[in-house]
Amino acid sequence: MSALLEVRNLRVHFPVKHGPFSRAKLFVKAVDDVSFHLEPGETLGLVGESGCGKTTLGRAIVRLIEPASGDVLFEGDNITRLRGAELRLRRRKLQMIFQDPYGSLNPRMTVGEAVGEAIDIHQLAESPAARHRRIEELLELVGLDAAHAQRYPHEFSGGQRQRIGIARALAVEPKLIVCDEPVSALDVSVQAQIINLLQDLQAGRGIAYLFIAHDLAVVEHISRRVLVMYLGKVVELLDAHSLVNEPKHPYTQALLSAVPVVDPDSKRVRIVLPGDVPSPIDPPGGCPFHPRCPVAEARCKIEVPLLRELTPGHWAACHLAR
Amino acid sequence: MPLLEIKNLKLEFGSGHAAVRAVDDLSFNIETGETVCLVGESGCGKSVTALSIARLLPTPPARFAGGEILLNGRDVLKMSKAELREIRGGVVSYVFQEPSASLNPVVRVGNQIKETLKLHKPNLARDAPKPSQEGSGARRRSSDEEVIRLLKLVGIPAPESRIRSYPHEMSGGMQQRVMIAMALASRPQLLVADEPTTALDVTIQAQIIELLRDLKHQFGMAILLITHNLGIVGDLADRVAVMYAGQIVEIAPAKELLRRPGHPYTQALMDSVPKLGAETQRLRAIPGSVPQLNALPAGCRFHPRCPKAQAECSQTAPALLEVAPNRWVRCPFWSNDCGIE
Repeated sequence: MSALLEVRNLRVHFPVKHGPFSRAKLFVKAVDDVSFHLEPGETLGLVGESGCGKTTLGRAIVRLIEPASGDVLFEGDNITRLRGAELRLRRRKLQMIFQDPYGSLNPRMTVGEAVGEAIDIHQLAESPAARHRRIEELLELVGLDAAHAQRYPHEFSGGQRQRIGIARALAVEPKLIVCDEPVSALDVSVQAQIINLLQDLQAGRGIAYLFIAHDLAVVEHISRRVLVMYLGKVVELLDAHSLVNEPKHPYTQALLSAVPVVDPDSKRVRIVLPGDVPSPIDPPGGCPFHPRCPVAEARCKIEVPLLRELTPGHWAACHLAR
Repeated sequence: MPLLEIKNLKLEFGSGHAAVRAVDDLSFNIETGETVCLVGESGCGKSVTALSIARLLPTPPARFAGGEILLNGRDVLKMSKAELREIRGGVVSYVFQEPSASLNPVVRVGNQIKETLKLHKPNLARDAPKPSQEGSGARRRSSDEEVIRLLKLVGIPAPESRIRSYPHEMSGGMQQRVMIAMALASRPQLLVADEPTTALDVTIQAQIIELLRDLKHQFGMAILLITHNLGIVGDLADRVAVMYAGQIVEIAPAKELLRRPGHPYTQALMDSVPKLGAETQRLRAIPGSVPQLNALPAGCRFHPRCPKAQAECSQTAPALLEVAPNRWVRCPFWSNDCGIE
């Protein structure tokens, strides 16, 4: 079966200025040699702490940020070099939902205009009446009222705005939606509504999601496979089921143990990592995680661990993982 | 006598017909050395309750419409400006959600901590110069020592050089540690932490929670922790108060509440968060959203979203009743048998 999305050795570098007279340009390697693939109708979770490059990776895939090198294959076509009309055609199948439902909607456009804009750009409606019907259909699909099309974003709550964002993404019938922290700005009771909505839409329409989040419990719940990133690199790729039961990379283990649990009788031992995430401008040599790693050995400081397949479907970048 | 006793607090915003009641008839205590958690979704009134304790809310627009806030037996709402200055920092200290917004960006962190010392512990801020080495240099050194001690206490590496850093040179977790050091500088009896870890990554959040737990044991300080994350509650709290739309709907010892939530809202809140490893197929979402304060439903404020609502729920507003020792629930149909597995 061919993958819907295949990312090969993707790198995104941001130049950092280094003083007015310095010629040497430094780069932040926000995404450093990342490869993975995504099947149609699958949800791949992407977790990591802030600054690990997960949002940049998501944006580079839809080409809101230009990658420095590497390939992004969507339905078999390399989209990293497409331009103009060709790119627009591909982007119809590739949409994005953003974290902040307040910042991602134009306050001066009614909901109907915001959702309709996508329909206009891709010329998906034959007549104004069809366009109108389509907008109403979309709003009802995401659990809003058809009459809401006349209203402005400020009249809605955070959860409702996120639904508008989803309706806008669905307007062009995408095959893949990159969801960048879609629920982290929402209250917990509303968060569950949006997660359920995303799952229902996937079941009904076979949309694949690249689900970016920092909440491991949410990612484990919604994803089939999970990609863990640290300092721009993939450190582990595994089934959502094994994420909880047998994480192999020490970073994944620590991340998992840091999640607060509601159960007061839990016997879990928390691994508290010392220090902060190092600056991606000057990442540590060898394994990027070694300064904070509780089990690091001498060779971790020198040799960069490669992503190895430990058991079928379970990849980890650690010298010590078995 | 409890350290803090809030009795029937009523807090309003705006005036006349436009006034909305953000906190309605709220009562709870904090004993010396106890950690109480205030849990609820945004807009339920938990932050304004916390700010009221040291009267940090600007009045107007806020207005105290009734009730008492007794701190060591003295009513904060009747205090003069001078008395308030004494308790702010002296008895109650605050740590807020966004450390980068709470720190002054143009003052070195050491000097910011020293400012608190000068106000509340003047003898520590300028230790009497030793006879042999008089002069401002020696004086500055001894006040530096106290700041370094505080930074060490909150786990900042290399505090000797860090006191010269500006806030932007530190990460979010380190900034939050500076905030905690500053709150501890005056040795308060009550630390109010308003969502102290919400802006931080999980691994850093874990560090800050460990730190708060250590400090609590070390100093026997009472903590009022405000959060929307029920996971943190289990880690730190002795007792939990759950708020909904300006009212407390349930108060119980933390472990009991997490094992057997009584109020339907508490139960729904716990069911709506995914649990690691639970492999639930579908989350039980709470329908609708938190009501606006100017359009509160009649009767029980939760009834339009409540799975257990009866006809009478929309008529009569339930009272907060003690259903078991130390356990208060605002619901006549409460049950403690259907908790989490």
